[in-house]
Amino acid sequence: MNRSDFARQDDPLAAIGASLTAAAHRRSARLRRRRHGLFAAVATTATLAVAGGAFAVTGTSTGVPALDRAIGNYAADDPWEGHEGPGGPRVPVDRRPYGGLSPTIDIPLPDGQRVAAAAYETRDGMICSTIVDPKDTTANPRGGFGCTNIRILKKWLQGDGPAHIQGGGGSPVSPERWGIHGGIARGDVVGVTVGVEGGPPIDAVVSGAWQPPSWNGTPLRVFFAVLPSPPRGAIRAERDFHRWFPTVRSARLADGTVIETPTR
Amino acid sequence: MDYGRLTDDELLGATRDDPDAFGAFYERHCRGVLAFLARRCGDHETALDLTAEVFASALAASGRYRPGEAPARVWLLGIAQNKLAELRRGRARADAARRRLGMPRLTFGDAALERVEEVLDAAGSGYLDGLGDLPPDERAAVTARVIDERGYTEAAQEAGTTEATLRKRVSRGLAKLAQRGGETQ
Repeated sequence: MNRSDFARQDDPLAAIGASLTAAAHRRSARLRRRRHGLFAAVATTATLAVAGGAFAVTGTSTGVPALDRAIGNYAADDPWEGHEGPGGPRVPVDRRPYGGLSPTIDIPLPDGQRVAAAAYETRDGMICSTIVDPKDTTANPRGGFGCTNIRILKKWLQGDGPAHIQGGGGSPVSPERWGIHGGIARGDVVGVTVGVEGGPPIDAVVSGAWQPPSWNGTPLRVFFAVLPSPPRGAIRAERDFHRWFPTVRSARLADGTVIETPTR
Repeated sequence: MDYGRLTDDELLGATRDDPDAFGAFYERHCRGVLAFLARRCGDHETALDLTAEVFASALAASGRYRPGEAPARVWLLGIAQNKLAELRRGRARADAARRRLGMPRLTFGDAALERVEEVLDAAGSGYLDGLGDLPPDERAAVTARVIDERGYTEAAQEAGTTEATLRKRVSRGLAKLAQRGGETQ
């Protein structure tokens, strides 16, 4: 795994604590929604008449060598079992791609640099997205990965709206200036805007649709949005983290419908 | 809410409905876990990374935490021990729990790493004092069973004793640690 930079923090334990508490709030909200059965039914027959038309399953190469190397390195680690404390379940991990990759997308940064990104299903049932500097010629390209369990992703896309931010905050290029936040959207979503609290909506770059092998339903798209990094020292408490971590503001469907999505 | 009045078990139990309770749990133990990890991996930045990962794993597993089995800080150290083992097997896997929780990875500048020095100076090695103060047979039993997660049979064979005796040692050791934890909270 290559490091994905975020704003540098001078009080490391406070920064970790803010990040953890924010994660605890997200987790609690998800558990609450699950408990109260608020998952909305979705029309799985939604139109697939998306821009570009056909599903773009691209085989085993993204077409960007640095991206291929990053995915290969991530997958090539020894099989591993994580586990979560005494009595906790052991979690097998196998991050080798399973089936096709998403279309590769090119993300322009405001300073003229570019980042390449793609998503794929893994053999252990995750949807992972990754970003790299396409100019990186090293054996271990600098970049970042975000992965979400397919089962959880399905619930999020059904319960929270048609687009969901998977994670982010880092950039393999100009990390002090820009953060790249990635997510997954339903295949009928052709436009996504994201924003931070008090900030304007930012258009995300949305990939063509692709069909992960184990995803039963509409195809998926991966999207990434570029936002300014928080100023140095800006994140010192939980409320700061919430302020600087973007949410999906809206999702535009292929039929022109715009869905406001106040949740992540 | 005055989280300072709650025990670790109560904080973990409240985490599902009150996420700030986990923040209080983190605040209570983060320096100790950081000190534990820093002494073992010898690299402050890695220790910070692993500290975040340990608490992310603890958050993910908090719903399955069973009060009374072992003091929460011993449970945390068990997670920390596992994370260290994962690090030795492959550094790339040391952030799995954070990824699952959608937590961004933080990077730290020189000032932050200097701050770690201050934290380590303040925390000293006190976090494991309770374990260190146990009689050797109880310490070994708790370490084998709770931190290394060995089975009773395997741990008893390694210790050259019976399973029943090892169970007693674990039970006595955990009771003493729980008592000590209550005194220091």
